[in-house]
Amino acid sequence: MLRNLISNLALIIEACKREFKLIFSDSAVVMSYMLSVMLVGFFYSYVYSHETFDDLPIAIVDNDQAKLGQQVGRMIDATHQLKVVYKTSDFDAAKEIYDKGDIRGIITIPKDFTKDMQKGKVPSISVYADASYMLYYKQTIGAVMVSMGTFNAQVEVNKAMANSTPMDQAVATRRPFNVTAVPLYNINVGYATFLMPVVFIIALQTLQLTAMGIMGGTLRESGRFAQVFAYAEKRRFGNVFLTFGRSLAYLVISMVLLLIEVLIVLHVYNLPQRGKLIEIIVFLIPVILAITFLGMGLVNFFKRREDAIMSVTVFSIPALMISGTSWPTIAFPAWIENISVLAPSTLGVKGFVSLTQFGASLSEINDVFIKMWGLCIFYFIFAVWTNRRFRREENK
Amino acid sequence: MAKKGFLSIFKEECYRIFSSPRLLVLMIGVPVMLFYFYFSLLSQGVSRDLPVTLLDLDKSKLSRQLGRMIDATSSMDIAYEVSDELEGQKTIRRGDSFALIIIPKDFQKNIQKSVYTNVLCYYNGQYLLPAGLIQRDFQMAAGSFAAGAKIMNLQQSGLMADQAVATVVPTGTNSHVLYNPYTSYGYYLNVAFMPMSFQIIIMVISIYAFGSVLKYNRGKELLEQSDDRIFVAIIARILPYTLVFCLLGLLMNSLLYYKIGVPFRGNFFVVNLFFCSFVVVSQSMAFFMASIMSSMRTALTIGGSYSALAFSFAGYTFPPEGMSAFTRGLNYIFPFHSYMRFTVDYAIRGIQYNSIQQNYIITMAVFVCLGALCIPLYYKKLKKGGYNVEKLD
Repeated sequence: MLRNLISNLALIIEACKREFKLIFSDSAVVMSYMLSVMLVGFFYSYVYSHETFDDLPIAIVDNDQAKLGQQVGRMIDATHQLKVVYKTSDFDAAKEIYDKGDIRGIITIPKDFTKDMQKGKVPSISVYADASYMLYYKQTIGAVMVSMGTFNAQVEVNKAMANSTPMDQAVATRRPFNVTAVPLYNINVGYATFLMPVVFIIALQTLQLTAMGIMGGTLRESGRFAQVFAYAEKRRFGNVFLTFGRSLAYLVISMVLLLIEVLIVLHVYNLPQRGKLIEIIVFLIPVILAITFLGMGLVNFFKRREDAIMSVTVFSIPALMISGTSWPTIAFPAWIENISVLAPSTLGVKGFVSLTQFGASLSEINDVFIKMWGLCIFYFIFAVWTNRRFRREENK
Repeated sequence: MAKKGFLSIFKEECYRIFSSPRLLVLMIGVPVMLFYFYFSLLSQGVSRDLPVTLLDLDKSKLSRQLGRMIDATSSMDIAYEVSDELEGQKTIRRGDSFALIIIPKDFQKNIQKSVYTNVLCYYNGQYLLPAGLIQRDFQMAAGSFAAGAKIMNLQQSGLMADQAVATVVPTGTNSHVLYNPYTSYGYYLNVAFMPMSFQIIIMVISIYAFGSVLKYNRGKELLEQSDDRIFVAIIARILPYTLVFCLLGLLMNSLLYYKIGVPFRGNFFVVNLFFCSFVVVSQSMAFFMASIMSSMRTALTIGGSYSALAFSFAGYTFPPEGMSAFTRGLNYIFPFHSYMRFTVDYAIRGIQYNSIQQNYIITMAVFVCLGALCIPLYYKKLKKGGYNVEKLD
């Protein structure tokens, strides 16, 4: 009984050691696994490190040419999101510049804007925003809405004061209650903060699966699969321990990679990290193991060395999409919601973002954690079966 | 003796494609599947009824009315009602709910007494898309609730309805959403995601087409078959792939502009023509990779990563205005950047041909030249037979 236990333990350690050797002896694997994950982490963070952009150029078509219309123009120009680079009273002239791509939006102030306001009519300004790129649109509309809100408030308070209400009171009684919207976690709506935690998991998954696919494909192409793993002699549950031992090597490497991302990349680029490190590590264990077991299972589909390189990468953006960060899960069609669970990254991203960005504790997301282990076990069985299959097949 | 000439290589290659299930799946199956995936994923276009949490500390007639107004917005759905703030925060931290809306105690009483009171919405800024929608709709719903109450107040103190409205809302704003009238993400993202995924496939398959001759040391045979005419060898070899990709491009564009109905302001023929030239450009880059690398595996790894990185440098979801000058320059080394910007300018915005678009065309021409420059290199490798024949000799 004890002897059994010791020899099983020995097999696990042996498998882990040999897997390390196998990984480091193939430069393509080292490159596409370790180097690329680091590169993606640093490089993407760099690309998005500005987080937001300021002073999007727009034009104002002022048909009013009077005091209040000009005030509106100045207020819009004063926002950090927009910059008025062109002022005219000719809409066609503005449109021409717009078509050249020099400006991203046009704001028109109607004729008699000031006069109408003084008469007590409600004139409207018009915003033409470029929605062919969503961020241009959001930036333009957002800044104009804020400016106009402030402008309206000023006018309203001025009117009240003209009716001999003291200013304090005019401000206080402008609305029966105040409305405040406060962003949490990603307070500047930054793009790097939004994307990077997700990219870490997706990149690790994509690149680790590719690397494991290259290795598995190479072994199968050269018919050495059984031979390489022949050290695990026939015994009860031999393949179980072999699979487990092999996965430990990846667990160590991937954990180190992800910790570099969490501790160094996030720090270098000033991105937030609000979780407890130990809880993050504990959560990442089933995430990495699930990816690893999936990687072993996928060898079924990779007959040749190049197969994995050709087919895994293309699924990185779909994996990103089904993680529910860019497009909310609630808008998924049912079939995609169902298959999304099969990608380890889906639950992995959900938990990882909760821990590192929202500062949740592991106990708060324990259902995600438990499901992650479930997926892990599911792929473990797949991996054991695969290892068994190829060792037997080639032995024949 | 085997047949020679352009047609024989072309036919042989067609036969190879259509008799290899692996190639067929990767080349046709995967793109079509991904087109369908994106189409289905984004079919809602605009996300509605995002789950939010309501903490109503007042539980009065007015606070319930406000809650109903928030629930009635298109973007929000009150999925959780909690009784204390900690519980509410938990729903946010777990990522189940996108916002926590707090109606304070004595909300109704304070309003009636004209005491300052504040309705708060903490929304999760991490999810950019829901955050934008919730912030907008919350301001709108709660803001108009407050404005409505004020208008009623003013009317009670003797103002006419028009006057009261003009006092509270002195000016209006008309938004004109150009090119994407419903701000549909289905239109917006499909236009980019479909060609993005497809160009990865184009890249790796083309590298495979050029590289596998060299990997399996069949270079000499190919040259022989083409009577030592390198152009014939290259073009006959790649043409079947080019044709299949162009046809798939036609399928993709039909799906985008007819089935999904992305507002389209260009000419359908020109858009397809442009896609075909993009296929040629990508294949030139693939040819470049296959020629200069020392093995097919390296060419595939580098080519695959290169095309996978392209999306971030397309400046589509995150515009070039937010990138450093260096990154903005870097954008141009990805043909996909030029393809995407040009397609949006031409097909979506329908604006006239201008100097920026000319840059995109020039950039794409440069890639073709880059491929052409590698022809002698590839010829040499073919003559040698394969990537690593020296070792075998």
